[in-house]
Amino acid sequence: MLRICLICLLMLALTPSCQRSQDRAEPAEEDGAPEYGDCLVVGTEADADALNPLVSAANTGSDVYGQLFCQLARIQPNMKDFDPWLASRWEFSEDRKTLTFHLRDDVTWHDGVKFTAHDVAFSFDLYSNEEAGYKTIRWLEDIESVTAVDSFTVRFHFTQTYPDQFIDAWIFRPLPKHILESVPPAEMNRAEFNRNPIGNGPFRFAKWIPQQTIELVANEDYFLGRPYLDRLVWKIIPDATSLATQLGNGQIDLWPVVPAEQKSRVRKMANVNVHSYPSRVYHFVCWQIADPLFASRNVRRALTMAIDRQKLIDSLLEGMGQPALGPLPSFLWAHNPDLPQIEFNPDQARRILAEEGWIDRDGDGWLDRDGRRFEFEIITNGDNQIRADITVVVQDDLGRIGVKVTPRLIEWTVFVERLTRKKDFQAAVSAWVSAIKVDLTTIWHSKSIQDRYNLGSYSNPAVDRLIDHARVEMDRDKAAALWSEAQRIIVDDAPYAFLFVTDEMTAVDKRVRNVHPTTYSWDTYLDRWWVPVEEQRYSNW
Amino acid sequence: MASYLLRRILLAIPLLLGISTIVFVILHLAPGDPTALYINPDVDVEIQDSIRHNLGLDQPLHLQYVRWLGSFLTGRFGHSLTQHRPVADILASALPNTVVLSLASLVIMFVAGVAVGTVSAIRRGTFTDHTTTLVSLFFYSVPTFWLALMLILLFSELLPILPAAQAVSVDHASLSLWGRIVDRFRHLILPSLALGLGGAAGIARFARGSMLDVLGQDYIRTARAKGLPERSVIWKHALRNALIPVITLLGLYLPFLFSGAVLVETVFSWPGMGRVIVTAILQRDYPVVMANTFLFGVMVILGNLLADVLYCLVDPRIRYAARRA
Repeated sequence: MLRICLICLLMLALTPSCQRSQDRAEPAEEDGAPEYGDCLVVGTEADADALNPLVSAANTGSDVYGQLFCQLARIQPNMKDFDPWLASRWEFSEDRKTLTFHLRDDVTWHDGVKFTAHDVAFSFDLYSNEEAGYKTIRWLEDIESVTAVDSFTVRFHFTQTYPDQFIDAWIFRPLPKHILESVPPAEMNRAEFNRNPIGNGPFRFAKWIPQQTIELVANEDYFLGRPYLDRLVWKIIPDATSLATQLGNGQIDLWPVVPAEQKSRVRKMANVNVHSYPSRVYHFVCWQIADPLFASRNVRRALTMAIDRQKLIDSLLEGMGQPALGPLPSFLWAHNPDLPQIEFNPDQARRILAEEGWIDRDGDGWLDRDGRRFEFEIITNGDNQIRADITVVVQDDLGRIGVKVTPRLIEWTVFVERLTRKKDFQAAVSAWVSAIKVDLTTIWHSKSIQDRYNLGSYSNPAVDRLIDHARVEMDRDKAAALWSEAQRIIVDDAPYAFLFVTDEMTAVDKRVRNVHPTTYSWDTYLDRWWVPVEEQRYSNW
Repeated sequence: MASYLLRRILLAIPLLLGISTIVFVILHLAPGDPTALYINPDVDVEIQDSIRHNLGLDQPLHLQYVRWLGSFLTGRFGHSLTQHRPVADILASALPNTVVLSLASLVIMFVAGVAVGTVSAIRRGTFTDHTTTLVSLFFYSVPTFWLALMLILLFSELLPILPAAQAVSVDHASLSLWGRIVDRFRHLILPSLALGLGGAAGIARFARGSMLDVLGQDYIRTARAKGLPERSVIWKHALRNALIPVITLLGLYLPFLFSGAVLVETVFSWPGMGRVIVTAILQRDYPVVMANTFLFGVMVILGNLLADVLYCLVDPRIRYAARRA
């Protein structure tokens, strides 16, 4: 059970997994004209930590603040293009060193105060102030300053030009200056605002009963038109079995991310529509290259070759996933679609290991070299069933080629410490959530070994050079070529055994219409979801 | 009696201090720390380190202990590292829920347990006795979480008549006063049954044995011999004496109740201390764990004290007054 309440913390997240948004490009309305009313009850395994985008580090918090606070622009479900939102239009200067946003003049905060360019400039200063503790402050490091030209024009000044400038300016959600200017940045962590937020989004904050419910109500004055639903309620149910029960008997209406082991049960529910779509999460086995056992590229390739990815997908995910092909997901423009794969081939793996000197000399069934048996420990966090299952399959697959693997399940916080800060492991099963920003620096650049997230101490000067060049290459085609080459080398070097990309499943009560979850976010267009009057369940509220 | 109570309460102080110290040391010696929440490649290492510094986690253990003790003795439980609010607020919202759940379970345990135990003692050797023995053995043996899941399956899924999660419905605030009371009560039924039935079964076995002992006593025979109606024999003479050992169980069952509450609260999404402490331990939210442990300690000690006082109330032979030399 405890596994479930932590599940949203289990992903080592590459932001902006937390950045939610809905899109306005109005999708075709099904089942007639939309009607107003009713409440949507969202089931979630963990309570929010804060409802302030500056402070929140957990998933439920970001799901909720995504409805409370808008961004300057709204990302489209294709994760490439942007629509106007708080800003009606924007343009770069000729040298691309400044980016000017022209804001809408009809946006108000939920307390009635007008939203202006001063809020944006103030928010940037706050987010980029180290004392405030904004977790992804790194994304703002190339923005020198943000100035309010007039009440509805705001200008971003960059220190250099690079392809993802717009994403860096877009990422943070403006906060109300008139409320937060009196809070010292170092006190933001404890601000009353975190639990009683004033936003400018489609829904207003109503009530938060810790460990029970978070309630939002429709913002009548939302500048793009009042949402169809009257209310959104997040109901906190830490146990996945109970959550499934509640979904089945109609006590909750929506389960944003159904965990793998509940999928078949949820699919059988008559009152529920199920949406499956590729997630941004890829699972992998990371080899610790600093350990002499995994220092050889050929050995790592052989181990990768011995793992049957398709079997993992078929048995652990019931086929609901695709093989992970490399370090960048296929939805990014820089993804290399022609990456040569290390195909499953245990015989070839055994031959390569023999060439490397790993042969079963003493006839005990395990490979050995210089009197040492080829054996190692593979760790993962035991509260995640899929990962625990992966270690067992890997143990079995590698056992067939004479490599002895001992799975070891450890607690989440300990796992994180051994994985990142101490790098105290031989092999580990984990997962990354892919960002929408193209960058391989934090995970694959050798300078990131020091910075913790290059988990397996992977170091290849050629990859370092390609990353350094690609990051600042303004020509997209040239940049794509550099990223492609970096991906090819990484896959070839096999620092990870890339396993699979899971399919996400969102389950929603059949009475709710116009639901379109996407890879970017389950709550796309949430302000346009609606329920026909005759099917509304909470009409007397 | 008063001086006895005072002595017991004074003795509780070093006990609580000892418990807190041990928990503090164990908790901090365990690997991992609260910044695991910020594991994200876009979070600068410096930010993580400065968070650690702000939380005082980079200081030597004994300094952290002194700091914690200082804030603790002045009555402030500190600030939660993960929930961004004062620990006192967290406890204030969770404690009443746990107390309500525990009291409801306690009532089920004792009322159902004593009733069943008494009946099966009086009907010793009959079909009723055998059936209740079998049923209570079943409830005594099954693990709490399994019982909880079965209750959910039965009453919330197959016959959807009772809610399976949380303390109130989502639209609780929109109900009438009477509706709100009924709503709360309906939510309380399954969790308190899950938590109380196992204990009730244990108490039933115990009460039966105790009752049988008493029924074999001379004074019961005397009472019957002088022609008292059977009802009076049982209620006035036997039951009260048979209850004495059962009452002592109360103190023993309290810690068991609280630890059981951790599981039951998770299964039923009951917003109480059990859930708070489990989440806090997993996230290494030190101030919350410390404050919770302290409160659990206080409640267990109070429970034991209560048992002793009740013991003295039901058994006139026991008096705690200081003896004269």
